[in-house]
Amino acid sequence: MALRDVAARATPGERFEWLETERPRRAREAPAEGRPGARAEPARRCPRCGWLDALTERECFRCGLELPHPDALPALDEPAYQLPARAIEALEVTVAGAARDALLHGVNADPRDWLLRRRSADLGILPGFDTLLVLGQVNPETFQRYAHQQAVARKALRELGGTALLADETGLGKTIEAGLIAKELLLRGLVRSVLVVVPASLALQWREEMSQKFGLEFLVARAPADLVGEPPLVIASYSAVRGEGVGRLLRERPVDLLICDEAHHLKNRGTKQYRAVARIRKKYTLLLSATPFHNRLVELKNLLDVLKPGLLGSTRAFNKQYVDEKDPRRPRNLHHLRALLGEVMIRNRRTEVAVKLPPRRAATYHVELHPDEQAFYDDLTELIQGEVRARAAEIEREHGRPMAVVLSLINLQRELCSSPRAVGKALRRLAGGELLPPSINDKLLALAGRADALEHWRKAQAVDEVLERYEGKLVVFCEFRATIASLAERLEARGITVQPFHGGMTAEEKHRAIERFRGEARVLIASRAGAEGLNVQFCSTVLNFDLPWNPMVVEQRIGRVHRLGQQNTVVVFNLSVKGTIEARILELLTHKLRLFTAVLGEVDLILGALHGERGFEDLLREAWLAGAVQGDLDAALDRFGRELERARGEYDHIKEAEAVVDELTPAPAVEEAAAAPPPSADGNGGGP
Amino acid sequence: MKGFVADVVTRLGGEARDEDGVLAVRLPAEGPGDELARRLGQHELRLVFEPTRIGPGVDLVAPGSHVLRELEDFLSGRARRAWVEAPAQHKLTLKALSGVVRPAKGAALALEGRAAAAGHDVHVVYRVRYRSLDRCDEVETVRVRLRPLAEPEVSLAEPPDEVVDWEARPRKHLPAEELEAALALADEAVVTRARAEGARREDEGRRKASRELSRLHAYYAGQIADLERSRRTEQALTRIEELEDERALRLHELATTTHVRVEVEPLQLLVVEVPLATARLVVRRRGEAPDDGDEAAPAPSDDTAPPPNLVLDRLEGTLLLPPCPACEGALAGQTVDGCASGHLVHQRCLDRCGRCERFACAACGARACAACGQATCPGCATACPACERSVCADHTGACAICGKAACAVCLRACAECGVTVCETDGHLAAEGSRAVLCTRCAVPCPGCKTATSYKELVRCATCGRKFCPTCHPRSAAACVLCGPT
Repeated sequence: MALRDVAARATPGERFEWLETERPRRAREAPAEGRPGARAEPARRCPRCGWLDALTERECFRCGLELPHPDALPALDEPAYQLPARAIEALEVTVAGAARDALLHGVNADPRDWLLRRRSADLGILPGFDTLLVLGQVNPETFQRYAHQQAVARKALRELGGTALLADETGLGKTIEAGLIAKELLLRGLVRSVLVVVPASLALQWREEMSQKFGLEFLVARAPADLVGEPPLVIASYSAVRGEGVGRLLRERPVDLLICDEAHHLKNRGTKQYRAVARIRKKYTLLLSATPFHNRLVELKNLLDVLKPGLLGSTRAFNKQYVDEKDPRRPRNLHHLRALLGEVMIRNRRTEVAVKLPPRRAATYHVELHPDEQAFYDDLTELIQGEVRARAAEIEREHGRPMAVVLSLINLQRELCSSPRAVGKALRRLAGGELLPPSINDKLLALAGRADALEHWRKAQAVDEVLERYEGKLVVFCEFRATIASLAERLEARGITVQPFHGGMTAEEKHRAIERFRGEARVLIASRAGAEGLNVQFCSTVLNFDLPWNPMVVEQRIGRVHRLGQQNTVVVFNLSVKGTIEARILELLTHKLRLFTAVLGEVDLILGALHGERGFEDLLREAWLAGAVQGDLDAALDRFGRELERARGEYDHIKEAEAVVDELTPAPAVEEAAAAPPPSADGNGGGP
Repeated sequence: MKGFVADVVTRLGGEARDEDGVLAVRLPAEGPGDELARRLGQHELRLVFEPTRIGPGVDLVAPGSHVLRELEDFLSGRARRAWVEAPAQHKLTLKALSGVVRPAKGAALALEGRAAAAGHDVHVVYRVRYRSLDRCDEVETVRVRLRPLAEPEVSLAEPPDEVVDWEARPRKHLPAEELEAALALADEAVVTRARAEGARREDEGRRKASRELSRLHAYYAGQIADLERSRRTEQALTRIEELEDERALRLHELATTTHVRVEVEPLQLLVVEVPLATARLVVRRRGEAPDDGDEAAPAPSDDTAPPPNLVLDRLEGTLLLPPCPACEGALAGQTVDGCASGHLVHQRCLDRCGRCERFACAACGARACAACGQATCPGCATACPACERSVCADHTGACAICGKAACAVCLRACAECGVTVCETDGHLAAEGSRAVLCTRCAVPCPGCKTATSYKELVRCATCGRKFCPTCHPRSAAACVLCGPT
């Protein structure tokens, strides 16, 4: 690519660093006669407990019954246990009294209207799950149709009775599948209440996704007061469910549908959260996990006991029957175990579904600040770390609430890395407040003046260089609206057609902006809020002008162009300004988290292994604070980096277990949905 | 579905055009069409009916879709009930009767007191919802047919499609009590059906759940047994309790998910007012003046006028004939005749009085004479006071002793004097004998107490009393009481 020339032209300290993208694992090889271990073997059921076992077994491994010779076994249609006899009188038939009364009074309608209403009643009769009603109800602006997701929803509803372990590989959209199922059940009136249990870090992401794609407004329950009035759609974290406040309330009230995301959190039946979730009364259950077990196969069994207790027998029997004696990760009696898992588990692999995304390449453009900029950066950083922080500490001592100042400082630090105009604006805002003493405010105002007077803006020059050498449209993502305006002015002044795109625009304006970008404009400069629902797969290059401290936001930015319908290799440029905190964070994201090269969806899992209940942004902020207080920001960020590496290593270990899950997987849902319509190429938003 | 949406739009004064599979709809800016447009959020829509054709600016119409739900809501508020008047398509004429009943030989059918009336078909539309793990909806229409001279008839039947062309009556209502009763009957019918269907569905679900049940039992029983076999530590006991609770919870869940709940929601009511013609169908013998059959004669205003026995549904042309009053059998398709009392009966149920020769039927009290077996009309028949059997005048008489009337069966001639006496005043002559003696001729024998004709008595020479020949054979010297001396 011509960008290499740009790199060659830059100053000695500046360079392009191309990152190697990981490739998804290949599909496992199947023998000629079909899937491994899928051969049919004669089996029979225990006459006492109904356990399915090989014909050769002489003793039921579940209930211990000594099995007679196969020839002597009677046909097993009647199990040993029965539900209490049904009394016809017990059948509840209710006649809607209010509707009946309404027929007694009122004006007679025209018979033509009457007959139309009669026809509409016939049309309103809902068919079986063959037709997913939800597909007509999703938000077309944000929902991307994938055949495998629809197939999973159909299978879970039609064959598994709404109780399933959705174990698709990462990035194939388990959340969407669960959303489809939940919305379908809600639409059909089979479900009125839904409880989603997630790691705390994913709660908001779930809420947004359900709202944007399915129009389901969930409430995130953090305190018992949130559950007043029994809201029907609730998201709660695992820690909340196992706790006393919110957890007790959730355990007391039955829910119609329970969804547990990252369900491997329930792998250990001895934990409080396992017991808490098992105690929830529910009608339908969905467990979501790409890695249903991590270390021992019995973890998978524990998980399935939440779904269907006893499906895999007792723990002792399971270990005896299905777990390799030498390696607790390895299964045996594979064909039998797979048949049982087929009753509850659905798994799609990336290589088996029709999600074909073009490759993605990422490069970090390391640049150095102009000496004027560097001096300004150093002075302001010194002020932030010195006097301003000292004042923050005072406020903390006086009021015990330092967050307002701290957040302002963090924002200031981020704006400092973004643009002179953004930082100038932020400095004036901070100086105009009453949090800091006048002496500091004066210094801040003086620095704001210096920011306005800066003639050099290295990051903007880097954008010029990319545009100069790269012929094509470019989406530039910025965090701050002042930067967007500033950058847009600069580019326009250089004769480049620019289209800003931010959250302050109306839907109509956004639509026009996209159309302009599709046509005449070469550069689209978008903010975080504006990027939601943005659909620009006709462009294949993204430039992260500045960096959000949340890796998921970066992932979402890239997702604007790296999605179905994209025909070209997607190129992601990150600007890294040497010596700034942003450069350090980018390094963490790039090399420790491997954000830009990870297989889609993996970042969620790595972050889950990292911190459990707190978000990446929170941890990063804590590291920044700790580093600032102790006076060694680098050391604090190094510690955070090591923590990320550990999480990454843990995830790599988990991935090994995924291979076993693949072996155990019954036929993928997508195979059965071969007749399903192909994904629409013009869909919008939100896909993997 | 496309036709339905187009019909709704057209009905509201809008336009619906099919443009290459897409239904382009424009709703009017006023009236109910505008109201629907506000519900849908726009006046112009482009609708598709297959999920694969969804695209920008195009709405999907499918069961459960937003558009269809809005239409259903909109229509439910406008067309909950309706009343239509069905047109009269048939006349009540003798010709119309010809295929239904045949007059007996020598007789002719005639219609009297014809009058116009109205019947009502009350159609109630219900949505029946079966909920368990899955949900299934059905729409049922129950028709309650209300007709004079007949009990309400309840069946599952849709109203005819032609109702749209019939005259609407916006302000007509059935009397509240009558409507309540009809709705109660419809409710009962639909609930009965829903109950049966719900039970069938629940049985099906329970069959499917039986494996789950076995698995749950075995799973928990196994774990509890293991714990019970182990050292009974506090922890183990707690765990057993937990497992028992969990088992109860799971079994409860299973029972809940297999249980079918049925919700019946009345959606709509349609009353079809059906024109009827009522009359009295009579049979006239030859020689009587025949009815011209075509012109409706005014109904007699006199309250004592005989009630009609025939109803014609002037919409469908069906005749409602009451059953034969004599045998309760259906008259349709049979040969009918009329008795002197005006009853319309099967020919086989009609008799001619053997005495007065008038035609009579069981309904007017005609019976076969108990003595001679001949048909007897109520005027000629008498009920025997002794046996209460009906007999003709030829077979009635009076007891010569007490003077009471009695039938020929009950009256017997005295074997001695020949007078007829009733059973009270007649005595069997001897055990095993069928001869009867009247109280005047019969004397009880002091020996055997048997009634004996006074002519046959023999005086005992010893005691001087008179005995029957059995107790005092003529050859004997004394009676059985005195014995041979």
